[in-house]
Amino acid sequence: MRILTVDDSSTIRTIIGKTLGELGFAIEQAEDGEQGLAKLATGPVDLILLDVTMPVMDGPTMLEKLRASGDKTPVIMLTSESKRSIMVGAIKLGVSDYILKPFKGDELRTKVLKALHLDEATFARAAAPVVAPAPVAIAAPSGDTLDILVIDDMENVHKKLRTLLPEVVSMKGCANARDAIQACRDASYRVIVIDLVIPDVNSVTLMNQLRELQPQAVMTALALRSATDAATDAKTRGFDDCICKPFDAALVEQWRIKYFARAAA
Amino acid sequence: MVAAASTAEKLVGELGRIVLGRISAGRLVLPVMPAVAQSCLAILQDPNFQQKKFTATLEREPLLSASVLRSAMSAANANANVKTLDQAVSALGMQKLKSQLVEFMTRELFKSTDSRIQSATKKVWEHSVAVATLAREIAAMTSGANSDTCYLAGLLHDVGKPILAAMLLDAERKLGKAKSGWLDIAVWTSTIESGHRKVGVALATEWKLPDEVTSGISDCSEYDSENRISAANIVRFANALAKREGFTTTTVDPADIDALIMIGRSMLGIDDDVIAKVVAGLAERVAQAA
Amino acid sequence: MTPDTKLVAEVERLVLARVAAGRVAVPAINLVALRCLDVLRERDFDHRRLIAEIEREPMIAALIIRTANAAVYGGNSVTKLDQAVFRLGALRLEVVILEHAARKVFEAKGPFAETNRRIWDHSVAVARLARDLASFVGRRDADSYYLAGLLHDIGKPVVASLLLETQRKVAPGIASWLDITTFERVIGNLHHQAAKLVAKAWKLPDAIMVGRESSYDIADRRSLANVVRMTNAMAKFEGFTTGTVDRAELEITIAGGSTIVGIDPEVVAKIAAGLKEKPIE
Repeated sequence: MRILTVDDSSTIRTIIGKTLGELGFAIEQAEDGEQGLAKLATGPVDLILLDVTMPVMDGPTMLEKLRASGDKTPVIMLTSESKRSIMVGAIKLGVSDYILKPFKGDELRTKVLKALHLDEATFARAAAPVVAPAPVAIAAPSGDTLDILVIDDMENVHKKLRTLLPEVVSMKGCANARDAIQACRDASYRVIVIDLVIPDVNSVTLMNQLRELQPQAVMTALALRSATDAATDAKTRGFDDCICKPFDAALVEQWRIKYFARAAA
Repeated sequence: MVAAASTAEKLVGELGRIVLGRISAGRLVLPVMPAVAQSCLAILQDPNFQQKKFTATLEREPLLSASVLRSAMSAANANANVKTLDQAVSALGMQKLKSQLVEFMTRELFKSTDSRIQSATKKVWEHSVAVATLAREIAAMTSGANSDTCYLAGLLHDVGKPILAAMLLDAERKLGKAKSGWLDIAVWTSTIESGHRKVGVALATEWKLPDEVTSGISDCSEYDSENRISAANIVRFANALAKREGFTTTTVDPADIDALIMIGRSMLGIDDDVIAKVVAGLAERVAQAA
Repeated sequence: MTPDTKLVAEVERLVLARVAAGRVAVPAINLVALRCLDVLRERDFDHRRLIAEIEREPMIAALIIRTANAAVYGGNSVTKLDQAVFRLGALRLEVVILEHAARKVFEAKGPFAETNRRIWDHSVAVARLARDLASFVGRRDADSYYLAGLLHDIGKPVVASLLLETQRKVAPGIASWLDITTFERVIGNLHHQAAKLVAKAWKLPDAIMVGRESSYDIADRRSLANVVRMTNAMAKFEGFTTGTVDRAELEITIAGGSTIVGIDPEVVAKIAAGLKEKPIE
């Protein structure tokens, strides 16, 4: 992927080149808006980092000309200028984000990846060499049966579990008991995962309620890894199985293949 | 419309002169301010503070006394044994008492018995509580900012508005214009919008509040890039966030709000995901506190 | 290096015997500070008596005046002790005096000076994080959280000194009879017992002497104990620690705390990230 940095400071261009170059991006440089447009005329880029105050042609002018020509390349303003009037104009022309100088490398990396719709995991996969996936035999889900329902008040938990499951395994997340009950009325699930510590919810009571609605589902407790003997405790309370968070990828995979078709060796 | 606008400009200028003059001469009588609260503040600001006199005065305002006692009891650790108002005053100290007083007085300032402005000042109060709540939480996440100071700065950033509103009502009554509605609501609003900051700053100075609180009132329009993590910047950011979440008293330009939020995120080092977490449930927190 | 469990058990037995027999040199708190705390904890304390006590110790008096003049308080600057005392109030004064006393314990010179300094830095980091978390959730007793964080490791220098003394008696002439891992293990296991002795000598309220709990309290989610447990792990994760740490274990503790205390993990990470940007004073 190619990024164009437009800034009259060679130091800034060097810092950006180094920080983003380490992530594997190809960096083009321009000293002002005019040079920036000239670079873009030779070929498109995936993202532009644009300073505001520059000689010859400033950032807002370059942005205006860019958008007037129909170019919708994402732009991040990277500037020491903090006047809102300048940003209002830029937002109306369409910018993805803003970085105030001086800036930290972390902020630059995070905002660049976000503007390019890459998160750390996706970016790592994108950068990794492509390997043909092993063939997997997966039982096709029925029309109105979903694979996993996860009930946890923290959406991060849903997101994390999603990243650890193969894409063919369908998953829905609910953050509270009311939504979980509704979900169980709307569809069938093979496995229901219930956090043991949801504020103002008795997880065992919820499990029993959901079992009424989904008698076929495997009820899995989601316990904290620090809890002693979580698995036995969960079984005692009436759950069929138990997994722990923070998630361990290998353990999640072991748990997953118990209920969904095993991957071919 | 042009005539009304120029009337409004003249009115702002004249009102500003009157109000600021009264403040500097110590003659600003805030029409809705309980006398007890004002007396307590005066005692607190006396270099020869007398605790017994303060407690005796405070006792005359039951709501405020209860609030001080509750605050001391929740702040005390197990050994502090706070049971009476005098013990609460000893435990909290002048600075915390002053914060409580200021909060109480600010809340009173936002009450109005006039039906025309009641709903408007109620909205300004809810907006202020939203800004204060967000400012406190953002301060807790940023190194170098004091949560309590930011809370107070947020609560007070629009305090000039109800004062100006009350002064306009007063002017109407004195001019015998109460029935005619001589100022339409748009002019009323723009008069207050353009004049309230000076009044707020003057009040904060009069109350001898920390500089950080005063700077949070003085200007909410541009960030201070020299002092990135400051109460003033945090209040500016919280103000924009609160407006985006619907806690607003006037129509807003979405691009303007987005610009303030975009700049503020970088200024304070807070990303979108964290902001989403902070604003989640804001309406509930504001309803509880307001 | 895995500590020899038999050696650890034997050393702990020796140390606990000293503790049980009351033969432990508990760090002395400045007598004036102790008297000031006594006065502050009286239900209807006499300000004049308090001021008279403070005046006996110029360092404490100066510290209180300096604290009262911090920008956060606003107002005219304070030059007299009575003005400073009234401005701060009993709750804040207790924090100021105890922090001063605790710092003295960790600043003591000796063979553990460097380790003690790092424990102090860690304690202040925990105190700040605990206060910030309490403020974030709108608690008015943020000072109590600060104190609890500050004092949660107060027993460690006591055990370290005790070990050194025990070594002199049991293995005189040997440069170091315990390897560092065993040393740390014993301190880790016994410092809460030592903290009880300090708490008794300094008359510290039980409520703030937390840190010995091995799991979160679900009944009182935002308790001092829960917050200190979580912020202890956060501080170590951010590098405010005295030895090697198991980062995976810390992550588990922090994640658990996020759930129990009810603060989103991303917000927790943000609060922790600000810690290194402000130097420990």
